[in-house]
Amino acid sequence: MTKEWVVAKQQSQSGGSKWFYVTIGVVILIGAGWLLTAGRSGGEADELPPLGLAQTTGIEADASAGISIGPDDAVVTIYDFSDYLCPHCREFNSMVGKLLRRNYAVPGGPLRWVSFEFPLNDQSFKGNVASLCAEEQGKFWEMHDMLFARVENWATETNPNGAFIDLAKDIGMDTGDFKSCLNERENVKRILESKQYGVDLGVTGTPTIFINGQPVPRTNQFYSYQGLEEVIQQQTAAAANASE
Amino acid sequence: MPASDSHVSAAVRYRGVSLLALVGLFVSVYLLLYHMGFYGVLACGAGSCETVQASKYAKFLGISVPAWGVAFYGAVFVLALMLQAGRAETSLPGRLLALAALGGLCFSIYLTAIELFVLHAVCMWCVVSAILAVCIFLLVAPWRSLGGKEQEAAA
Repeated sequence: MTKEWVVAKQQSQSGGSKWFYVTIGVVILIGAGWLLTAGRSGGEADELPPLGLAQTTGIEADASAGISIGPDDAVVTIYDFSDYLCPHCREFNSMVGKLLRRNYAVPGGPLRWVSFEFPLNDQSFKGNVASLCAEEQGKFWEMHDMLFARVENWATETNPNGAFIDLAKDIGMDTGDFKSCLNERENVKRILESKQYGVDLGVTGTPTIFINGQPVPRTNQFYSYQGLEEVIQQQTAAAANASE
Repeated sequence: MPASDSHVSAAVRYRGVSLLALVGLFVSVYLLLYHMGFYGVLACGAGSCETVQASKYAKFLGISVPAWGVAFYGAVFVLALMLQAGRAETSLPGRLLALAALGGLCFSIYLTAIELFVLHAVCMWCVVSAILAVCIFLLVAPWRSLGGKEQEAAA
């Protein structure tokens, strides 16, 4: 081993080490930038996963595509765009949405809740079909809650109709009519309209809610029960003052 | 000279491991933030990310899989940094890294099998993570440090 060889090797190692740390720094910067912008770019409408049946190109839609509960003249109207396979939609709907609907979206109550189908992929789309088939028997909200609560039963099934029929039985539906509806897929157009309405409003991810027409950022406190309840109470008080 | 060559080679390998672990760390943090609600939808150009993430297999021992990923890649990153700076492969960090690489490979095989044979859905980010775990395993070459006594004796 010559002295020159050792010196050259040490210099090479030192240089390599320097470049290594520079590369680490660059990777950290790129990674941090990606994480900071991912929330926005990931939800762009034109970057959504391929939807197959759920393609919305050329569809014209309006708010009638949604399914509502609560009085038409309620002081607070919440539009909810959710996907049945999105974990946060499940959390939001199963806890916050369900409780608010039960407490406030009642006859004479201050809340009207409108649910819009917003499938992010073909599997979710099958859940949307099931929920609208349930609506034909007046069981939309029961099915809506069940699809979220028992998502494990159908999320990974290539043909989840069997799981849907089990859910339909559990909520007291006529499974014969329900099964026909699932196979006919007669509600596809309505799902496409519902999704398109969300796209038109600028919905880029789920869950997204609008309170009296105003979009609410997803990380906002209004995705909590307390936050939404406060809005309902404030709007109710404001409406009462205005009428006096 | 063989010892120096070996040292340089090991340093290069562990630098590669550090970089791969850093990429894996960011992927895991991204998925973890999604689980925590910071992102409404996953950017999943190909595959069925939502299906996989919504399944019961998205948790392991009650902890979300991305959280395991953060712990795994974080540990591998730190250990590989220590080793690339000159710690011996048969030192404690070397052995821990070897065990982590082996564990990461096994866990990736398990998750990939679940995706392919149980869920019939593949998440792009899981594939990226599995590829990273395989590369880390090959670079760490656990048989070197876990069989270190023989190597030391041979040296």
